[in-house]
Amino acid sequence: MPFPETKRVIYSKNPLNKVICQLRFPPILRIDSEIPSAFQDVIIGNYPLYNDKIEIQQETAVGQRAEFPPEIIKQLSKSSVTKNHEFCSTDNIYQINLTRTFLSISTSKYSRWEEFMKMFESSINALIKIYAPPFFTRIGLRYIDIFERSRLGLEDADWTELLKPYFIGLLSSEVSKEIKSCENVYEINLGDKTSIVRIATSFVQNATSKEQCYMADSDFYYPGRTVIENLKQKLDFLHERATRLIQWIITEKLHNAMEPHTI
Amino acid sequence: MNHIPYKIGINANCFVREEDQTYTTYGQTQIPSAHELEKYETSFFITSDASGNTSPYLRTLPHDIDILRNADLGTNEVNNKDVMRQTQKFISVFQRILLNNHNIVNSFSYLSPLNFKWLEDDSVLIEWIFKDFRIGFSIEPVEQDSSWYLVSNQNLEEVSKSGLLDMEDLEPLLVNLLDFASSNS
Repeated sequence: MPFPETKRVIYSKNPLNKVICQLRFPPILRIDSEIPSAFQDVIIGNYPLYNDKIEIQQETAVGQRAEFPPEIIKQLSKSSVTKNHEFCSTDNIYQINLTRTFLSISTSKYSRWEEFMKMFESSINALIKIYAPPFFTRIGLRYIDIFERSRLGLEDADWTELLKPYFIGLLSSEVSKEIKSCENVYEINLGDKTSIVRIATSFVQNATSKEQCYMADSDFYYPGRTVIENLKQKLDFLHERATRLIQWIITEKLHNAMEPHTI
Repeated sequence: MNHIPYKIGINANCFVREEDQTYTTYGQTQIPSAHELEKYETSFFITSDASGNTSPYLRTLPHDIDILRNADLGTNEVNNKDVMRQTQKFISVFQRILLNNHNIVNSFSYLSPLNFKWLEDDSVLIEWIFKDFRIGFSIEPVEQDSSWYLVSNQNLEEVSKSGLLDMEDLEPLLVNLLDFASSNS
């Protein structure tokens, strides 16, 4: 718990807009001061494209701000000028980002966990071998689901037919049609006394078609130090909770429309 | 006498707590230790690739900060597709900056919406108009020709600034303009 155990499925029409896995570690200044050519040598097979970027302002959890002293918020919120080395697959579907404080993988076309982790493996091994982080300070696995009804042939369905009422709150009530914007943030302990999922939900709009869509942005994370040996175990734990969550928030109608296949 | 678990830190106005090496202050400035920063980072940050890449979906912002309430992102049938794509990117970055900078956004008494004008030469002019100044962005069919400007009236000493719009590095410019707008509106 939380979220009931469930049979794992793969959806042919999954609503995932983006999946990110990020491993944070204490700053390694060499990543900023040297070209990461040795790192690239290891991953170039899957990631032949390279962009030398600047790390943009780190996304922060708005709801957390009140708990922190302003000096710390200022320090954490300031625009960064550190390098963000970006390595992309030929089709630009997978992307590895390396900065002095984190390594991440992201994809805009997630199909299954095993494939996702396979695409991350070489980068993790290269990080450990070349830069030797002493431990990870935060492990995050974020799934951004965007439910776009037209993609699933469900243009005429109300949100309440697709998402469980306890998840969408007022959208399941009689005022549903009058709601212009909505935004909810939940933080839920994942049962191991440390890991948390922060779920942010809101309406979004397809910039081209203008269709109103519903976003569930779920950030599963372990906010503590993890030695290298325990990384896989922590990631598997977060992934399993993510599997449970998605099936817990959708109705059978949406589940079927997304074309599930049991593994 | 009770042991005081602090000793004077290298900074004259702070103490270092012996137990966990964190700082506490008696003066005006608090300097977070690496230990404190790590602790706050793990809770404060969201899992991200920090690449600034944009999504084809736009957030529906709360009304009080929704400067896009009058947004016209163009239509496939009428407008230049490259300009539409650049406009979507611009808006997406602007939204992210608004959401990431609540402290600045909250200081506005009123946030006027962006005005969009699609012009005959296929460009789009996006203007943000305030009582004493206006900020404009011109997104052109040739990306490198896109530009921005800021002009003010006498109340703000007739400021006049402009430059090219680097679509790959919009964030610093937009944060600075947001900061200017919040300080002078």
